[in-house]
Amino acid sequence: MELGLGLSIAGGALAVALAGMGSAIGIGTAGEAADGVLSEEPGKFGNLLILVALPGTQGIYGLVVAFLVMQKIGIIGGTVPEISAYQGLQMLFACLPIALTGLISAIHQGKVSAAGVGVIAKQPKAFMQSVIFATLVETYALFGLVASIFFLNGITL
Amino acid sequence: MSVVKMRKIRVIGLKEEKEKMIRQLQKSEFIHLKGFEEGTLDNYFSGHDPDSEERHIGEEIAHIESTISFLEQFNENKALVENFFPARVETDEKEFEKTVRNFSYQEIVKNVNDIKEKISKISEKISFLHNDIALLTPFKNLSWSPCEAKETQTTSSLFLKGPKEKHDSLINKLSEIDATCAEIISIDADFACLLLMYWKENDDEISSLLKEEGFETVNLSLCDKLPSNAIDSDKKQIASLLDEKEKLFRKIKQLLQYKDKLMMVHDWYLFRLQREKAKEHLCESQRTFVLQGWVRKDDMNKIKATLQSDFPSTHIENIDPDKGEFPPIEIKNPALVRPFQGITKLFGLPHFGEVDPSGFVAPFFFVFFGLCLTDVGYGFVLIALTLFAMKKIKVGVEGREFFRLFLLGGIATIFWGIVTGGWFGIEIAKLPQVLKMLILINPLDNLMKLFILALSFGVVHILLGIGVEMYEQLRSRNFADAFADQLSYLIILPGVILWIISKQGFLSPQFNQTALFIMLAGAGIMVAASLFKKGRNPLLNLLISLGGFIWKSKDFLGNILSYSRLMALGLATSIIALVINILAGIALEQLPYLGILLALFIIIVGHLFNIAINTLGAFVHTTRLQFVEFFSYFFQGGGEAFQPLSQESKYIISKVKRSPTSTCSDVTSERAGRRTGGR
Repeated sequence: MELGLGLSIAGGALAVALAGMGSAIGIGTAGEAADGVLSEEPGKFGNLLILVALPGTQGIYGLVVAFLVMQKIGIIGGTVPEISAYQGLQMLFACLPIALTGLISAIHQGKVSAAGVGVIAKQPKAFMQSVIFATLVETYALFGLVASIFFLNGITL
Repeated sequence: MSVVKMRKIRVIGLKEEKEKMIRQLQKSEFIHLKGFEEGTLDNYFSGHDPDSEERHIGEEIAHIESTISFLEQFNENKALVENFFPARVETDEKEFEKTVRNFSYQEIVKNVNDIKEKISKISEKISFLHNDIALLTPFKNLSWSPCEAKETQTTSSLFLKGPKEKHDSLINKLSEIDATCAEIISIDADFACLLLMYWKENDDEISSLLKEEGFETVNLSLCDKLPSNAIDSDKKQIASLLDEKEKLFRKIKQLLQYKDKLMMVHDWYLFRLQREKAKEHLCESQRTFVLQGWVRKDDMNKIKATLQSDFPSTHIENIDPDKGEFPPIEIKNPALVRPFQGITKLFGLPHFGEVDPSGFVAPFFFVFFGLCLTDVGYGFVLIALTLFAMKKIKVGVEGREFFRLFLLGGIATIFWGIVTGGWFGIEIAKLPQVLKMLILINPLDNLMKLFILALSFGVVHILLGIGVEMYEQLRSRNFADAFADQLSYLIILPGVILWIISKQGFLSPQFNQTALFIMLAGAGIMVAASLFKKGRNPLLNLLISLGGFIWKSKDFLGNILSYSRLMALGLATSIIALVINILAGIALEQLPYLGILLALFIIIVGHLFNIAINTLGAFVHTTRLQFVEFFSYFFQGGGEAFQPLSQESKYIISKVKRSPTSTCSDVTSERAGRRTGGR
């Protein structure tokens, strides 16, 4: 039982940590680029903020999955059920889709956002279009989220 | 839901009426000007000569603009929203014209520029003085003025500064050189400062030694006072300069009141510049000018009436477009669809002959947006915030439509919130009975239902996309293509879905047969119709159609699954809302007294953050579903926008809706007359 619980927690922790790391890196990349533009054109803050915030969603998705795990294993409000090692492994693997897609997609979304920052520096009108481009990357984190949610939903403890 | 019909016209008028007519056209926003192709006009006409006027206006605009942005920096009463949206000024025509006529902006611009220059000079001086202080500080204990350390015929003296840890070794090494005297003046955390006197004949040796130890000479020969006195006087000077700067700041703040007026004058010049630019499309003969361009078909009569009553000697005619020229595009929709036009425009206007997709975008955008948020509370907050923003932020027509998009989105969010039981993320078990009864889908218990709902919307959306494609094919009379490549899909795909549903056991097994029959019927249509396609060998056409279907099948699958994001986003919003409430609950339980405050803080900030980030997500992902999944079936876009000659402002927003026929009381011309020396 101890091992099962540990593995489940590892799953939730990986979801938050990896996806969050991705978001942190992504926002870092985009934010650096945005600061450069901001020094020249402070008036574009609003637009830049949106682009910089985009890679932040993966971290949120990770948190969503972690929360589902916590709920399932009764860490928040509830009794901890018996979790076998196999069930724990199931939980751990169920978390991997969002953890990995979150990590990688956020980093790359950050790069696309940073390029988008370059676009608004020159072509303010193309702002929304560059946001859409950045969103294309996020799709795969969303699919990861969908998969993780369904996996977790399917595991019976 | 349509593309506005356009006509191309040519207007020939008297040269002396040119200015007035262009102004009239600009006010009434009728015509999208087009230049003349080489050789389409008689030799009597020659192109418009650009004059220095345009450059002059451009310079004036740049001056005023830089003045405005400089003044903006000192605006302390700036609302928070103004950091996100550029400042604008609301005015009506009367006020605008009065301001333009009476306001002597040049004086203000000059004043501001003078002050700007003074401030930068003062800042320069201050930084110079700071440098001086930094230079002198290590020597402040000197009891004589540094300029007295002169060289004699045979000796030299130097002030030195270098790394603190090296000064011992330097002094040791110096002491080995004959008749050299080094004295420590000060040592602080990083640096040591020394005074060095030596025989000139040792010059080379000493300078190489200094280099080796990393010491530099400090030139203090200009300081003819005691360093401590010099520092004091520098400080005093800085204080008085700062004082002066403060006074200038106050002056600037007084000038800030003219900002709105400057904005109006700026836009007045901008309108003039736009007129000058419009003239580049004109051609002139000795006594006449000619212009051509596109107008809305519905405006034709109005244009003729207006122009011919004001300019009786003007000739207006309909002309054919140039070879390969397409009319510019304007889309027009009923009020409920209009907010969604912006989404279409984001992708690009339809090219000539294409359908305007805004009407299709509207219902799906509405539904999808709400599905991504699914919370009654969030819907209300979104509506409230939008209403607040509409009140606070001054925007033009398009901006208002954009806000309306979020109002509608808020309504959709409320609807889906009721259906899924989302009320500020409160656990469904804790909701009052009435609200529980309204819940149709409980997202966390009934994940599959929500998933299927999202995908079903995808199926409908995509089928509609294929349907529109079919309509376009029919309209351009490609009947066989429409039947083979669209109608057949529209039959087969529902058949496939029906088959899946009945196979899964949701329907009685006899539907299995029905579904197969439907699929076969669709395939039959595909085969039959593809044989009738134009061009090429019928068999080849058949193969192309079948191959195309197989190729596209994977797209259908991918596209439909892509709609699962609606479920994921909605779920993410509600789960994060739940997490926020749980955190607040923990704060409330664990911390006595202060817990309430902390819980309130978590709830307000947390939910606002959740709303902000998920509204952004809802907007971009919903938009993406339109662009990538929906539009790819039938819409290419890329049409040139109808941009009539008009008053495109940068700063001003008109308070009253401009009536296109309002004749301008001619202040503008008066001023123009004064500038150009009268007409």
